[in-house]
Amino acid sequence: MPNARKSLILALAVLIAEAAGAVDEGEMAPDFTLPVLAEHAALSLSDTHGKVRYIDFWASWCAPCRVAIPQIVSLQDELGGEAFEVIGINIDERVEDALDFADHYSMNYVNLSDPEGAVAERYDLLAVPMSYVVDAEGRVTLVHAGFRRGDMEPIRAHILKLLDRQQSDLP
Amino acid sequence: MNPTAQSRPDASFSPRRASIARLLAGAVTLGLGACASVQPWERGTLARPEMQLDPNPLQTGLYEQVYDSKEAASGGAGTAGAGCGCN
Repeated sequence: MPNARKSLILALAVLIAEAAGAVDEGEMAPDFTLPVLAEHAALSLSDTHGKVRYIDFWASWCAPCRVAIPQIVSLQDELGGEAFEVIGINIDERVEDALDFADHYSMNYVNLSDPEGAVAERYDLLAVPMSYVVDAEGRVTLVHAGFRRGDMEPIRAHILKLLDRQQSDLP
Repeated sequence: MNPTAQSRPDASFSPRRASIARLLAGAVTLGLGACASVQPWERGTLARPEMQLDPNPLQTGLYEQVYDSKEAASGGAGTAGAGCGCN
């Protein structure tokens, strides 16, 4: 019996240790630098400091991304500018797959390429798609795993609240 | 004879049972070692056509329809059709 208890405690410790790696709400978003999809330029998260950011991890093979991305395109259309930016992070191994997908959905925001999954691993994604709202100071304020119809409305409301707060903080 | 002593299970394993238990434990350990967890960002590999159980679903659908038509029955393979080969 003591052995069984020890095994249970060990298993729980492993689970907790694994869960502890994931980026959570309230934490500072880990900085990253990745190449822009099919371009030589690179972008760091810190380059967009001062903006509210919606970071979306996606892949061409991910079915829910087909639901999410047209709505993210609308979000960027509506709110993108000086105060807000969508940053897509593609995790396809083949850049061509990502480019075909981006072209098909007329993606209107910057997409970075993470074919090795290094940044995905750093953020310890629980699912694909997975998105993070990061405030102007770089703090994660919302984490969203997966995507279903109707999920964008609360995300949009959260972003609008952050933008309002940012506006009211201005002198 | 003491009836309580009779109903008490034998706590010690026979050598044969112990070796079977060791073999089973070894097999389970080896089996667990073969498992690998696929991270969400690695699932693209599983989505490749060559990783599917049926690498050519279009061709399989066609073959099943021909089979259904020849047998004048359908449903066994899970495809729709009434046996006329026209749908």
